[in-house]
Amino acid sequence: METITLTIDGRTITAAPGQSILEVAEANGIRIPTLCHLEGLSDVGACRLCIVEVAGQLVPSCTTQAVDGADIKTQTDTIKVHRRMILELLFAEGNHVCSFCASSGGCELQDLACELEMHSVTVPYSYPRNRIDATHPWFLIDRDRCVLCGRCVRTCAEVEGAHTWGFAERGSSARVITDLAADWGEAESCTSCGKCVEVCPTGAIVLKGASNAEMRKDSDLVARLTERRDHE
Amino acid sequence: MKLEDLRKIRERAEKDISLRRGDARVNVVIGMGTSGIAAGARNVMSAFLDEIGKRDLADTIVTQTGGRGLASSEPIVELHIKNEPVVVYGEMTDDKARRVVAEHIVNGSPVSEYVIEVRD
Amino acid sequence: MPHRLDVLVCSGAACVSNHTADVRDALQSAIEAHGLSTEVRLVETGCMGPCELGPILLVYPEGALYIRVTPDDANEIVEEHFLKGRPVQRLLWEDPAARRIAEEKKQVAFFERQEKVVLSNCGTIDPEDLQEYIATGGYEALGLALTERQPEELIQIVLDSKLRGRGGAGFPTGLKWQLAARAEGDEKYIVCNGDEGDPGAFMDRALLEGDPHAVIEGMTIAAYAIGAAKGFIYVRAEYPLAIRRLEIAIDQARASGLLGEDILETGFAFDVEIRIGAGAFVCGEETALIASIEGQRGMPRTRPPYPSDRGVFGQPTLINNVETWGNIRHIVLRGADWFRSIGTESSPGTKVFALSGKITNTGIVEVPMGTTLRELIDEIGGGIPDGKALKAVQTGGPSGGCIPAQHIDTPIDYESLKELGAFMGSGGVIVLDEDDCMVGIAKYFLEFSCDESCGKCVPCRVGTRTMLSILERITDGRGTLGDLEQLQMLADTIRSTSLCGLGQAAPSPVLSTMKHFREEYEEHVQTATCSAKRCKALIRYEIDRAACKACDLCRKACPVEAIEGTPGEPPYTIHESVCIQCGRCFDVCPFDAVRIESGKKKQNEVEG
Repeated sequence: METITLTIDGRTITAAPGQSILEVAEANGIRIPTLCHLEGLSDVGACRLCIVEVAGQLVPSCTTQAVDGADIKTQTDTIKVHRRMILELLFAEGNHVCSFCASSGGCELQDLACELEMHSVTVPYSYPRNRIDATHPWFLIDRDRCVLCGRCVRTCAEVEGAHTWGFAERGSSARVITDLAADWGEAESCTSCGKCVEVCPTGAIVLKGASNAEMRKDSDLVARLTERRDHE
Repeated sequence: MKLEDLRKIRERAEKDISLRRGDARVNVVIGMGTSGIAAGARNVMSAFLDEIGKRDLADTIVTQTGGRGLASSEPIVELHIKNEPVVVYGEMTDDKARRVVAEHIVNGSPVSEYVIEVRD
Repeated sequence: MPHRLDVLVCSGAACVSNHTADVRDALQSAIEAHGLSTEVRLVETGCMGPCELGPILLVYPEGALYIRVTPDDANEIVEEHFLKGRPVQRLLWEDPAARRIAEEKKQVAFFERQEKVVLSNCGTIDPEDLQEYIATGGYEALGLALTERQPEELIQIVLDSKLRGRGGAGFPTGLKWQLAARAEGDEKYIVCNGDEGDPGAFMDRALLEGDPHAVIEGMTIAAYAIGAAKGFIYVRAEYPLAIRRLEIAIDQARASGLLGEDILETGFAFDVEIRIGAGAFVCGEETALIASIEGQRGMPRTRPPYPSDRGVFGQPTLINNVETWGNIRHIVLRGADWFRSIGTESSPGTKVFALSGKITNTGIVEVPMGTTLRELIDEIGGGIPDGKALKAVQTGGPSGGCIPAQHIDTPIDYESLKELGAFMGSGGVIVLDEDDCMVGIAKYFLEFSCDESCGKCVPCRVGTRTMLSILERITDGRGTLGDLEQLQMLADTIRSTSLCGLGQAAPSPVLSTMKHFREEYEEHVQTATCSAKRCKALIRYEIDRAACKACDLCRKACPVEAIEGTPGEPPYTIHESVCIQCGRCFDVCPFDAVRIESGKKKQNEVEG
C-alpha cells in the first residue's frame, strides 16, 4: 500500500494518502481541538479551532490534506493564542451561561474552555436576544447558544437527507433556520428524527423539558450510522 | 461568419467611425457665420457632404468655422490637406463644391479660378 | 451622405443617473428641428471617465467636450455648434488648474495623462453596436487565435505578458490559464468575476457597460486555450445597465457566429451565460462565487483545491476578473512584448482606477502601472477641492489600507502598495483630506466587512463585529489605551485564521491607520476629542452670537427641534441635550454662524 511520511509535533508518522491532517493526528493519538468537525460528516473548516502550522502558515487541519514530507505543528504558542481568542469570541457572541444551560457538563464548548485554559472572556460581549423556537413538539432551539458550527445543517442534509436545516442571513445576523425560516414546528421537511439534537455541540438544540445540566448528547451517533451505511 | 467576413465588416465599419479617430487627411472648413449662411453656405456644405459620400472618401471631414471677415467673398471654404498649404475658396456654390471635391481632394490639383488665398 | 458630426453622448451609469437620456432626447429634437438629421449622428457610449461632470457630450471631428449639459442647452449647442461651427464656450471643460477652457478633449489633463488600453473603447463606441466594436479591431484577436494559434501558444503569450489578476491579488494570469488547461475534468468552465463590490469601486461596471464585447472576446479566447465550452459572467444585480448591455452583446455575438456552436466557422464551440449576483460582497471571493453560480449559498470554502482543479460543478474552472478579461484581446493582438513595455517590470500593463472622495475629478481613469499617486491625484484627478490638504489615500477597499500623504510619490504597483500596508485591490482610490477622521474611516470600512462577512468562520463573523464595537467605543470617547492593544490582538487572529480573503483582509483598514495615524487613535482615547471634528459623539454644534442674523433657516432645518429662536431676534441657541449632531444647521447657515466645537456635548439632562 502506498504511504506518506510526515512529522507532527516532531513525531515521524506514516499514513495513507488522501487523509486530512486531523484524521492522521487523531489516528496517532495527537489531540487537536475541534468544534465544527464531526466524524461521519463532511468537513467545512468553519470554527478554525483545529488550526495547525504547516510551513509557517496556519491552516485548518480538518480541510487540509496531509501530504508527504509535511512538517506540522499543532501546539505552538501562536496557535494557542489564536485558539483561545477564537473561543473567547464564541463565548462573547452568544449567551453561554452554563449555570442556566441544559447541556452544562455535557457541552463541547464548555469542555474546550477547560482544555484551552480560557479563564475569562476579555472581549466585549454582544448579548444577543434571539427568540427561543420551542414550536416543535419535542425539541427546541435557543439560537443565543448556537455557535453556527453547522453540524445540524450537515447532519440533516448528509445523513437524514431531509435538508430541513440551513443558513440564513450573513455576518453577525447569520443563523440556522428550518425550512425557509419557518418555525420549527411548522417545518414540513422535518422528520423529527432528532439527530440534530444529538450532534449539536452546545445547549442550542436540546430536548424539551431538559433542565439545567440534564441534557446529555450522543454525538457519536452520526459516526455509527454512517459506518454501518458504508458496510451495506 | 468567417474571419474574412469579419475583416470585410471591419473595413466598412472603420469608415463609419472615422470621424472619431482624428486622423483625417482632408478637412473642408466651411465659413458658417451669419453672412456665410445668408450667402448659401448651407447648400455648399450639403454639396460637399453629398459628393464626399458618393465617392466614399473616408479620409475627408467637413467642419465649420465662424465668419472670416471676407463677407464679400462668402460662402468661403478652406481646404486643409495634411502637409499642404491651406487653400481658401470664395463665392462657392453647389457645382463649384463638387468640382473642388473631384479635382482638388481626389486628384490633388486646386481649382485655381475659385481660389482667393493660399496660406502656409 | 456621410455624417459630418459624431456626437457621443456618455451613457455610463453615472451620466444615466444624471439624466443623460433627457439631454439626448432634447438634442435629437433640436437636430431634427434644424434639419441636421442626416449630418449629425448621436451615439450613446459607455463611460467617458469624468463622472462628476456628467452628462457629458463629446463632439467629433473637433473633439469638443461638453460637461454638465442640461436639456435646456440642447438648442444652443445645435444652433451654435452643429449648425454654425461655434462650440458653446460656457459648456466646455475648463481646466481648474490651468484656468483655461479646453477646446478639445486632448487638451484636458485628465485625459492627456491617461493611457487607455482596456478602456480604449469606453466612451468612444456604442457598446450596443457590434459593428462599432468590430471597427476598432474587435474579434480580430479571437479570429487570429482560432485560425493561427495553438491553445498552448495562447497560454504562453499570456504567461510571457506577465499579466496579473486585476481583481486585486495580482496572481499571474497565465499561470492560472496553464493550471486550468492541465487540470483533468469532463468539462471545463470559464468564469468572469464581475461581482465588484468595494465601496468606491466602479471600474468593472464601466468596462461591462462601455465595452461588453471585449470581455466576451477575452473569455472566448481563454475557452479555446484551455478547452472550455461554457462560460459564466457573474454580475451583481445592482448593475442593471451592465447586465442589459451584456445581454445585447451576447445576443449579437451569437447571431453573428462569434459565440455558439461554430465560432467564425472554425468548429470551435463556446457560449456564455449571465449569472446575476444578489449583492453579497463575499461572492467576489472565487469559491463563494462558484457556490453561488451552482445555486448554493454564497459561502467560501477552503482552498486548495483551487478552482483551476475543482471549480464550477466540481470541474476545472478558469476565473478572472472583468478587467483582466479586457486585457486579453490586446495582448493576443499586440503581443506580450508590447504589453510588458507598459507599466513596471513586476506589474506590467495599465490599471483602471475609480477616483472618488475628496478629489476634483471623480471618475474612471486608466494609467500605466508605476504611475505615482501624486500624478493620479494631482494631475489627472485635479487635486483636492477647496484648497484642503491631502491626508491619505485609501486603496483596495475594505481589504486595503490608507497610504498617508507623505508617501504620495509611491509608484502604484502590487508590491509597493503592499509594503505600505495597503493593497492594489480592484482599483478603488478614495482620497481623504484634512477633514477626514482616520479612526472614523477605519470604522467605516470595518463596518462594511462586518456586514458582508458570510458568517461561516468564527474569526471573521465574530472578530470583525468585536473590533467594530471597540472602535465604536473609541469614537464615542469611551475608549482606553488597552483597546488599541486588543484591536491589535483581534486583528492578528482574524488575519491569521479566517477562512477566506474577506476575513483575512478585513482588519487591514484598522491596522494601516493604527500604523500611520496612531496619534489620532490616541487622541480619541486619551482626550476624547476628534481633531477632524467628524466623530459625532466628540463634537458640539454652537451658534456664534455675534454672527447670527436670526434668519430662522437653521431652526427650520433641524430635524429634532433642538434650535430655539425668534426670527429677527438674534441670537439663536442650540439645545445640546436634544441635538443629534447631524450638521444640517451648519450646512444651511448662510452667515457661517454655526460652529463645530471639539469636545463631548454636555450630558443629556433628559436621560439624566
